[in-house]
Amino acid sequence: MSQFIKSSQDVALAVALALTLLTACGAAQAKDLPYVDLSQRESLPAVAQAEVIPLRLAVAAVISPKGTFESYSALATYLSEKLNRPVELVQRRTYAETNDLVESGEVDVAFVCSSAYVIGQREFGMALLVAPQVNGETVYHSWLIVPVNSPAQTMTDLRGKTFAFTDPWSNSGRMYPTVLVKEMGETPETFFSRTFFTYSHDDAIRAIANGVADGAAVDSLVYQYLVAREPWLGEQTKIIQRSPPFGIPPVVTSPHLRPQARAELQNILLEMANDPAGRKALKMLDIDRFVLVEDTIYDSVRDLESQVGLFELK
Amino acid sequence: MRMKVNRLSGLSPAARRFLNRFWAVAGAVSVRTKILGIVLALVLILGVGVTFQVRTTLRAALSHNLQEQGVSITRDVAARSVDLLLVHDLYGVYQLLQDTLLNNKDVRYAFVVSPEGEVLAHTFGERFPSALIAVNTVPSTDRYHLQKIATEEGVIWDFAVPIFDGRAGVVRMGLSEDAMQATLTGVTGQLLLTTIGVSIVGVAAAIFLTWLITRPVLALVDVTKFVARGDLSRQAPHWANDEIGLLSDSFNAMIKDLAATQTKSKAYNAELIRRNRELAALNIVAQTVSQQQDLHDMLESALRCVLDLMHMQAGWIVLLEAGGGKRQLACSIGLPEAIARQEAEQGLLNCQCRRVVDEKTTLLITPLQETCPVYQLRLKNQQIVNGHVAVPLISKSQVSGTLNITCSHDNCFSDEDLQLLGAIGQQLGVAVENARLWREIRQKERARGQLLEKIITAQEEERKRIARELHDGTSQALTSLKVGLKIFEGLESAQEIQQHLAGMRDIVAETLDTVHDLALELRPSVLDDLGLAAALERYAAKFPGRYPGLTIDLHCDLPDRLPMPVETTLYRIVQEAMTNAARHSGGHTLSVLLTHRNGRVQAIIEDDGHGFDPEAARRDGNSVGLHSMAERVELLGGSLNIESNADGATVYVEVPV
Repeated sequence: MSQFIKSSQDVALAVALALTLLTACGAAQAKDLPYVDLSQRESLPAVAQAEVIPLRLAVAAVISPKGTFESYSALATYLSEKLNRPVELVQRRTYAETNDLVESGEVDVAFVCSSAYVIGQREFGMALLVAPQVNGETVYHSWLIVPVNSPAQTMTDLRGKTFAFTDPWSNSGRMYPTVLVKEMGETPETFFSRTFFTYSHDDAIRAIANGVADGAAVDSLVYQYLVAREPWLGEQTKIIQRSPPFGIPPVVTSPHLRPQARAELQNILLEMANDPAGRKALKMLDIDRFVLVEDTIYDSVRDLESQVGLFELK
Repeated sequence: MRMKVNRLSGLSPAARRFLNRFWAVAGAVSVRTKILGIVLALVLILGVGVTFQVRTTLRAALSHNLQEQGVSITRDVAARSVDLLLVHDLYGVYQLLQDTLLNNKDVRYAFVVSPEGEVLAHTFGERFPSALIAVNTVPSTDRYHLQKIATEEGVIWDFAVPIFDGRAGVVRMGLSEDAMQATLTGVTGQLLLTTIGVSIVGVAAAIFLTWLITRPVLALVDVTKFVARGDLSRQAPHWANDEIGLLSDSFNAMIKDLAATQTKSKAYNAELIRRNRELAALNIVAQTVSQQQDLHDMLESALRCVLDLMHMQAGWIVLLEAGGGKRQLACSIGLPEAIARQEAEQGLLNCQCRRVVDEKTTLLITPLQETCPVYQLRLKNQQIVNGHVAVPLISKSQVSGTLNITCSHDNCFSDEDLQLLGAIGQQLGVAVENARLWREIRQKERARGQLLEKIITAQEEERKRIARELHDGTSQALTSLKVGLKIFEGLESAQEIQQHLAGMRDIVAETLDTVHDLALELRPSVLDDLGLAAALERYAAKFPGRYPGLTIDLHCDLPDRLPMPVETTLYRIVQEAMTNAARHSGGHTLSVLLTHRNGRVQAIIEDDGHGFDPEAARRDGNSVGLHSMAERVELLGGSLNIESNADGATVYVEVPV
């Protein structure tokens, strides 16, 4: 026992000796960092009003916002230079939101979908300004696309599959396929096992290419534009059905835009093709030029829209 | 210490002082503490080192992870917020930031700044810490920029990632280090706990180890202590075949040698002491013996001395007569005189004591036979005698007596005691022998004196006889011749003269015979001229004339001549013996025989008289003749023995030639 006590004393002594080694190992870290007191908060200052009121250019979400921004930035810049005032590019998720902006005058000019124009023109007098001419034409189609190795040949083969719509108001992406289903005496909800909105055509194409959806209907112009830039999308998808031609999505103005500004804007757009800088901006959008079109070219869209029914879209 | 200082002379004084002080502390503690300290120090150094290393590595890894995570989350938010920002879905951005905050515990805050520097969405609630905006900026070409900032909540890693190449703004994300620090603290704590655990195990192992190591050493130390106290019976245990085991073996061998040496030394000392005691005892006995002249007194003193030496109560000494005949009690102490005497007379007859004389060895006789006189004798100190030691008194290989000491049990006498008693026995034997010789010398001295007196008397007697012979014989004859010669003056006639002359011639012849006999008696010339045999024959021939009625039968078988002293001595001895026999034996026949054999001459003179006691005659001192004979024989180195009984006496003389 005494041996054990002696051992304990020895242990205590040894521990004392050894622990002195540890004292050198303190962790003292001096920081030389900028100091921010996170509790010192204040209300965010109101955004200062720009001295010059910019022209607000809205682009409906035909393609994804990022794609839109990249494509339309050159145009915005061109317009800004021509108008000698800043041009603000405004995007919204849906066609309906864009229409609202046009209706309220929060945007002056907008690139909208054909169906959105048809609705806007009818609802609050959305004014047709110009229309882009692509490959010499002012029409476009709705193409029904499926993954490249899908066995589907027609819309009928997509029964019970997943279908990607673009925007609820989209002519080519929503109305046309809905009409196709309706012609078979079905509704999209019963015909497809599942549907969802991508709110842009490029996302719908990507959804097909990635196999997220079994089918989608997209703007032929967007499809061509996108496949030209991202060939793998063309390799991973195939077109199984093409619609009759529809009037090309136009450039419209708010009913609140002053006529002078409208005329000036129309003139610049129509003259763009004659200006190298304008051509460069048009090239970014794969547009030949802006042309004046008759409202009648959108009648087929109106027919289609009437078949679907506006209330359904909302 | 001087050596140590010298050895450390290359060091600075401070380092030297530290080392010396360290050694003063470390050197003073036990081996157990040293080992414990080493083990503990090693474990702690290892533990702390590992902890430090792990902590450093982990911190680096966690920092890297946090950075990766921050960059990843921020870039993810930036990517996901592009569309939202482009479509001006600020609530969507807000939701995105909130979701990010909710789903990432490390994210402390997140906000989006527009290219114009306006905060579009943030997670701080209603109000915003504006100071945060300017802290971190990122060029639109960079993937991200990290700026660590100190806040009241700790260090926050602020990541800035441009959205859509900065065209849509910048996402700022603040990640707290708390989780990382918590992980670090947790891991460090675990490691330290492990270190402590390992330390405990290490200490336990060290205690076991030190026990294992020090146990044989301590056992060895214990044994050395015993050895130091003189206990050589201990053996260092051999625990294992290691260095300590070898040390134990060497030490045990050393102890064994030491023990052997000590045993030898002890034995030597014991031997010395024993010898010393023996010598002292012998010395005492020798002193005692030397101080006493009388044999009896000397033996009694010696016995007392031996009893004192042996711490015994009773003993006795028996003396044996020369030739082993008579036994005589010389002295006794502590025993009734009668029993001692009885023991002395009986003991050597039928007791085992006889062996002492026969084998000339000291014997311890126990148990005693019932017939032994001292059997079961109760001594003065109430001890019962159960045995006794008998020591022969030896001198010149002859046992002259026994020294006996009683004992009450078997183990009274050790071998050494018996040896010592043996030595004392020899000393006493010599003393007894000396005493006897002394007595003999004194007897001889006395006899020699008597002899001298007798010789003088005999000379006077002889002279008287010769004077008488001369006066009675020769003088009267010469007187007759003087008278006859005076007569011649008166004679005239030739016839008368003739007659007178014849008468005077007879007188002269007779006188001549008388003178001749006288001369012959004094010294027979025939001994010189013709030898012993002739001289004895002539003497014997004339003997009957002197002692009528005695028949002499003389036979001499001797060589022609013997050495003169031998012839003279033998002539006188035979003459003396014959004269004694003729005068005192009363016998009728006297036989004398002389033979020469094996270089010795033997003479036997035998008579048929009534005999006599030779010893008594010798002690008596009046017998000059006997002494004379003995002395003459001794002078020649011969021996003289006298046997006598009622049928006569015989004198044997033997003389070497």
